[in-house]
Amino acid sequence: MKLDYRGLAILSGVFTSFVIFLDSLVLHTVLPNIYSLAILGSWTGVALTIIYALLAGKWFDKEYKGMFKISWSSAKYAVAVGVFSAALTFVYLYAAKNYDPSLIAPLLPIVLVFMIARDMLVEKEKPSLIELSSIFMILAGAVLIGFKSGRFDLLLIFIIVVVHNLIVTLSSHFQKIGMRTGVDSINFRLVTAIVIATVMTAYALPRADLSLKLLLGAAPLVATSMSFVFLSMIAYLISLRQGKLSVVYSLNLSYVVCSTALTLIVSAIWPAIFPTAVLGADSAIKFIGTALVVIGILTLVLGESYVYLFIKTKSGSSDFVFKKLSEMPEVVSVYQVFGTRNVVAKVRVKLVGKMENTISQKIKPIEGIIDIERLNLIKEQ
Amino acid sequence: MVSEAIVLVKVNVGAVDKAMSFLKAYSEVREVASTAGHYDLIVRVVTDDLEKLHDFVTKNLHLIDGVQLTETHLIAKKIEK
Repeated sequence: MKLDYRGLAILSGVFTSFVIFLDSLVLHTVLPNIYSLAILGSWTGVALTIIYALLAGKWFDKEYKGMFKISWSSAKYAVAVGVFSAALTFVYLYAAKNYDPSLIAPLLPIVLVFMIARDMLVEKEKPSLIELSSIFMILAGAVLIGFKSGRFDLLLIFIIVVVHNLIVTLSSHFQKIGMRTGVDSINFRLVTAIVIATVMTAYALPRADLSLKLLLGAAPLVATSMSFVFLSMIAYLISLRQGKLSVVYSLNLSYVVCSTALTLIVSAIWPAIFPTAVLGADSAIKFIGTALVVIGILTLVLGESYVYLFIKTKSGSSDFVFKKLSEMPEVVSVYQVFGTRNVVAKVRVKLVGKMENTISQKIKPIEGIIDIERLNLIKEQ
Repeated sequence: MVSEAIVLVKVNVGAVDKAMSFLKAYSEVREVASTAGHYDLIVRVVTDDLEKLHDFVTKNLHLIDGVQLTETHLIAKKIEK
């Protein structure tokens, strides 16, 4: 059976839930020392990235031209992402050590709220009523998910929602800038993975228990977890080639539901693994919270609207118009074409109502544009 | 040399969904979307060379049931974020 992009996005989410589950399982059973897991996991990640690049680098990314073929202007962003990612891993492992995946996973997608906040600050976009209500719904859901044994676990909410997701946003910001420098994705990831492993090893080495017996015991689970990281990444990227980012992201949220369900099922069979996962009144509240988070994020991302603009430019102006459009945050993709038009742009706005303003106030005034024909996107496959 | 184009497609009333299903089955089709405006579908096509692009448009796309007319824009340069 061949999966379309929707199936692949859901599958990627399922793989992600296995990663979250396996990491937590390792920390609660064979390798309780988070520093040992940080070192073992990060170097396993580097090894798998190298193996993957050697075996299928060109297949994965057509821009890939060989290992470590990366300029300094690209590498500095990869290093920054690596440092943030190392910090992120420690925050995540701390949470995984002290809490179970059913509590952690639903709080991770709240990163979208930070990303929207970043857009508002960087792109000077005011939030709409729908955006505000969706964000409120997500945050309310997060508070309910953090509800545990008659009290709210504010520490967990702070760790994941504020610290973890803020670092994710900063890391994504540098990743986005870095990928604009023309580097291939494999070398960018390779540099990032090496920095992560180096930083984590430097910090964790004095605190880690690196006895061979312990590491060998954990190695099968860690290698399995890292393999799922790759499977998840491949499924997600293939899905992104065919589907709209917002839809793929939403479908990928299947990991929230899968992680919660997986943890609760395993803890019902074997309660000793995840002592904080309790089936009872708390679970019902967590599920309501999870539903609120998912509905809120779906409302937020599915409210996006796309339009294709077919632009006729003055003679000699198409390069300038192309460049100006490529610099606009609302423009998802821009093409210089031969045909009845000179430039084609795919524009995204968070609400249909904002489309008119974007076109009339930001695009039409660009010097050199003679005429714009628009095609509103209804359904994408 | 790889050739890439944006093809606008006008189809008969009621034939949009069926035409989309046919189009997405082709490996050359990287993106297909239904639109509101002068055209009903927008298709991004990638082929190994210009001749194959011509063949795809004339021998595959034009023969899909319900397709009335097409307009092809050959991509010279692109930035996808």
